[in-house]
Amino acid sequence: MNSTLSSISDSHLSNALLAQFLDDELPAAEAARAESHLAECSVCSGRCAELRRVSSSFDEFIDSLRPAFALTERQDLASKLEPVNSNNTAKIARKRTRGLGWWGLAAAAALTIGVLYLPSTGGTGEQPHTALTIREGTSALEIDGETFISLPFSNPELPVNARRIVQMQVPVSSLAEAGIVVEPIANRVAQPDHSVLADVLLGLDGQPVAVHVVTFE
Amino acid sequence: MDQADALSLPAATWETEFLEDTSLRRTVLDLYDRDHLGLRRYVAFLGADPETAKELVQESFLRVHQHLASGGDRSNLRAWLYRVAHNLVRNAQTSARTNRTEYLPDLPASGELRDGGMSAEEELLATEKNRRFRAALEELSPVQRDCLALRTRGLKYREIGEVLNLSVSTVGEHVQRGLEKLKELI
Repeated sequence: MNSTLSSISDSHLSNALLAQFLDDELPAAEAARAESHLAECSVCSGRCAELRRVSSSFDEFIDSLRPAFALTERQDLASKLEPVNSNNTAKIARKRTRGLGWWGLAAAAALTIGVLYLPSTGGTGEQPHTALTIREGTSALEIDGETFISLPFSNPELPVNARRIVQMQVPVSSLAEAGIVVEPIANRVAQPDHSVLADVLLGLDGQPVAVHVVTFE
Repeated sequence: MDQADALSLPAATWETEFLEDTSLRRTVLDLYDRDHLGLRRYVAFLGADPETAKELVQESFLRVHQHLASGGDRSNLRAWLYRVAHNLVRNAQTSARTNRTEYLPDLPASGELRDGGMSAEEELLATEKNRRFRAALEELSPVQRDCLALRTRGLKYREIGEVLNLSVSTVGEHVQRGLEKLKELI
């Protein structure tokens, strides 16, 4: 930079100073001086406008690039964000606890108040959702004629006590984490905190093992 | 096993871990929503071929997540993201022995990726303008191009310096020289 602070107001702005002014990189005091000079000096304000034009044509050029990408890439990314800490066996137990999230809390709550039900056969009055999609790779088990979807973060080694089934409202987002996608009916906006009624099967360790959505019956 | 055993893991632990986990995830996905398109354009500008570009963009966001999960600084994720992507592209190009002067991608040949509502004439004009701009860019030094490109993504000089391992004043010089050169050429 070749112009000093005192000379900004009476000599023209250097190119470096102009660029920094344009990019909002000047300290407040210097920016104010540059601004007052630009207000009076048509030469410098012309140069500034010219730089702005060049700068915006660069913006236009970059924005004219149309990189191809698939809309599913966000979903791919989201699914890869989970197992970041689980690439060795020592961390699997921890990951399981993490993955439990809502389910762990729900199981704890259910056990605390001691609400244990047998599998329900009846539906509820309102049916706010219409479609249920099970993602590939999820496994199912059958209990008392009902299909339960295994939760990916449950411990498959532990035996299951089929009598310990809790019926509760499960957030749709938690179901999504387990690979069960519940879609709202067409003209209704999806609420991120929406819940559906579900039977949750608890393993012998008291943790949720599988889930059966009952709202659809 | 009785209920007390089942609850031996305190709910507070679950809650804390759950919140941390979702907030990291949330942070990365928010960053994705805000910046993925800009980042894709930058990566395309650097000359990565479309398939590599997709992978590298995905990888960049994953690395941000790892960075956060390992307790990394979250104050300037955007600059961090661009830095990772920049290095990934350059490494991929080095290992593929790509000639660095081939940094500018061809415009999409088919109409599918273009903006709707553009007439054939407008498109031709835009293409011509683009071609001239590209020729002008070839006259800039690679580091001037990188600085200007990062600048259009809204990065401050300090952040550009972090991406390219340059001092703030050096970035300022490259930006200024690059703009001047372009001004003469277009």
